[in-house]
Amino acid sequence: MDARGRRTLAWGLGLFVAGQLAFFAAKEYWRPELTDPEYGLRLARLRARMAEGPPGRPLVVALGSSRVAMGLRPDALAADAAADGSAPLVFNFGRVASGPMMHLVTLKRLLADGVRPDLLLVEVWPAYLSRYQSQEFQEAHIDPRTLQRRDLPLLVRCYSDPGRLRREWRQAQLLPCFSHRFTLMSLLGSSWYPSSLRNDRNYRHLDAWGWLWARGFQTYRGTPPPAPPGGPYPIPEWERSPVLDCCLRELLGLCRQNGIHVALVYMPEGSYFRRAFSPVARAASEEYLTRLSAEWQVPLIDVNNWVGDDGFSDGGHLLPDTAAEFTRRFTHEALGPLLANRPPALASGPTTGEHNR
Amino acid sequence: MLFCTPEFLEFFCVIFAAYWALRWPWARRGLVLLAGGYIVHGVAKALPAATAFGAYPAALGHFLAGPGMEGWLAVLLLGGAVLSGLLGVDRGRVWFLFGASFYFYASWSHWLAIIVCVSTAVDYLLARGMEASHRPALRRALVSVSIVGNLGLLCYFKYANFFLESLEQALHAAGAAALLPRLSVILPIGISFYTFEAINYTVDVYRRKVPAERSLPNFMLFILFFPHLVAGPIVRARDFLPQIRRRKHWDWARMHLGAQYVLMGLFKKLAIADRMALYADPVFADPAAYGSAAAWLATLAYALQIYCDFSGYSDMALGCAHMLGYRLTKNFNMPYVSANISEFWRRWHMSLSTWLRDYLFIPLGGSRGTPRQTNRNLLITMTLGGLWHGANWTFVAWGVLHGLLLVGHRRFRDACKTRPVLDRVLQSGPGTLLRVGVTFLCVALCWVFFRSSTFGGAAAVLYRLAGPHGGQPPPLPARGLVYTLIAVALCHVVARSGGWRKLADRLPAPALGLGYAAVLTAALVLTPELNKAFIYFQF
Repeated sequence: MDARGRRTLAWGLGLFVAGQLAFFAAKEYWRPELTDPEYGLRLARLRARMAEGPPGRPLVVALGSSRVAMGLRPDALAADAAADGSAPLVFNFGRVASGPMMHLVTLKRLLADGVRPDLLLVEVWPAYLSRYQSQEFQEAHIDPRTLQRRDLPLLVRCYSDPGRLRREWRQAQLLPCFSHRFTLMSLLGSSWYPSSLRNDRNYRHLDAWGWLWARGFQTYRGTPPPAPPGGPYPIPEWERSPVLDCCLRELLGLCRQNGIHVALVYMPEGSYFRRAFSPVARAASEEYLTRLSAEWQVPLIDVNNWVGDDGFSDGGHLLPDTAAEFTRRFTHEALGPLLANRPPALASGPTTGEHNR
Repeated sequence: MLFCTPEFLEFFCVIFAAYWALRWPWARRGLVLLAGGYIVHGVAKALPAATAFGAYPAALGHFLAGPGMEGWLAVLLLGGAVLSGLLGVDRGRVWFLFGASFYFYASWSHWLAIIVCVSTAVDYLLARGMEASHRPALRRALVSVSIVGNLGLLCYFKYANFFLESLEQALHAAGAAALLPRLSVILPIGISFYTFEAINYTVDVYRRKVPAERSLPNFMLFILFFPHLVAGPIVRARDFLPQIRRRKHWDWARMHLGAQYVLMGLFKKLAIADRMALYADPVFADPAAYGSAAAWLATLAYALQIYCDFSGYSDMALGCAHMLGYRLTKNFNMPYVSANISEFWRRWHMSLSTWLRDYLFIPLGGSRGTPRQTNRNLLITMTLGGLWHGANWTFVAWGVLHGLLLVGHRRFRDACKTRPVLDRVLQSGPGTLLRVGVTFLCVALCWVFFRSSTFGGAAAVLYRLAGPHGGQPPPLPARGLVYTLIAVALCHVVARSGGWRKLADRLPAPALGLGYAAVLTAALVLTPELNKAFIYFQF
């Protein structure tokens, strides 16, 4: 009995540890969607779209926050794409609460996974580039469990508390089946948990082109009233965040290195957000974006005032129909000229010509 | 520190490893070096930070009680190693386990831990006095002091505000404007459990059923032993004290058994109880908002939740105790397959029901008197049993309901004796199934009072159970609950036929090990949230 008890316990412990190691290896090397299911799902859908269409179509990938995720509807272009074999394949890689740090991580992952866009649209929202709490906000929305080992060196350089990031990441790897249980349960039996415990709420309603529409989207609060002219302003002053600026520059450098055309996009927002910046803050942020655009020879497409207040669910996120309409107009007026190496009428700064490389 | 948290896992691993390592001199020396080194390092770091001599105690205290209380843990390991060397391994282990149990309780509140120790020491002295005395009056006085003292502590911490609030409400109802003060006391975790353990000890010493324990650390360990300290099982002195005196040997079969219990408890708690709470909690928090389907699912889910939560805790307690060489009383024996309410109470929270039987029901006269007296005794016992669970009238109502069910069952049983046909039908297979179903339904409906914090809430749930009512759908689709219910029912069927034991005996070690690994993995994957407290910790 003694020997049997010892053998059984040893086998049990050994197999449990082996199971954890196997799961760790699987999520790190073979099934990255187990680590970051949102990235994995978007990548799988992007690959499926790439495999569908005629070869040689230019690939346009949009990186951004929930404003991009919910505001850019490439499916609205599907009819055009079917009629015109050379129409670009646009894919939305926007992620909720994602800023320059996660944009850089996403681009690195895409390149490592063999996806090289012809044109990268990068959302620049001054509030996400400000030194006032925007880095902390973005860090708070990066779940260490969704990071792969390959992401760590980059984020450790940017994080305000790299020690905490490393520690939390290591802790998550000790019992990976436990730390990734919500991902596993979202894949296996999503109805077993309420949505508050499920981590798929930010990608459950993704469409085939990466557009996100969640009826109960967490930021939905109805359109806030516009700020009264003359203040007080929710954002009275603006100064760039050195870390986020560095991430954005690294992203632009990486694109240049890989021959990827880039355009910076200032997405539409309602009057509340447009008037949230004081004149001083707006001037400072605009000056920064213009300088960045000129320095890196990338166009800055400012479509901030394209949509009226009735086109938003909450002043910041476009409603589905508006998003479709916006995407068609954006493609016609901005994307087409960019891809044809022509300066779009609405862009400031240079086009995506040779000097952008 | 909860049982199924990383903190407890760390604590238990350290205690378990050190406890068994104390037998080897080289391990003791290693522990002294390791723990001593850690303390010296910590003190050397802490003292220079104190700018004045007067600040040294505070700096030391900061080091000892710092994050995770590692300083105290090091002191505990050092003390265990030194005492094992000085007093011998067996005595050293008793001191070490007592220290570990104190550390475990002090992780919630060191003041409450001190209070428990003081009250335990007083009981120890009273019991010694009782044993030494041959004067019945003095013995009676000593046991009365012990009972009143223990119940006084319980009443002060647990029921004082409840009684004050109830009195205030009664005065209001009578038209008197009274505003009674409230005591700002926190409820010591597990007070109901160790109070009953102390009472059973002193009463048994008074009845001369057990000799008074001569060793204070032994007695302290009996009351404070951390696996049973906060939520039972309520151990008896005659079962536990002899085990403390026995020499402990490493036994793989026992480790295997302990690991089985811990695994089973973890699975019940993490994979079933905490998941069932997702169905029950929202509905019981706001029953008026939900419809009948949600109310039924919540009631069933709560029946499952409380069973798996409490029996899961008890299993883990039993497992941890086995791994340290101790055997605790079994607390559950598949209560939901009971064919009547009396059987349910022989299978549910067995350590409490036997305590109530031995120290309340029988002293009240038990079933020796007339049927009317027996019924009265049952009602008193169950009402007080209900009150024991918590300071709320809903618990009292729950106890009264169970008392009434027990009385009703006795009368029905007597009626069946004069109706042999009915008795035969009820004893048949389908009849037994029917009885199990009816018993489960009664128990589940009684849980509504147990779970609700107010009578209004309980009434709202019962109102929705009684007939179809509109309202919000269940918080989660019923599928998960139905699958879980079926799985639990199947496990009960297999367990009742002894299938698990046979299977475990026949399976080769790798296959059984694979099963354990799978159960642990499933428990970890299925758990909705960590650090959800056990329901019975509040009692």
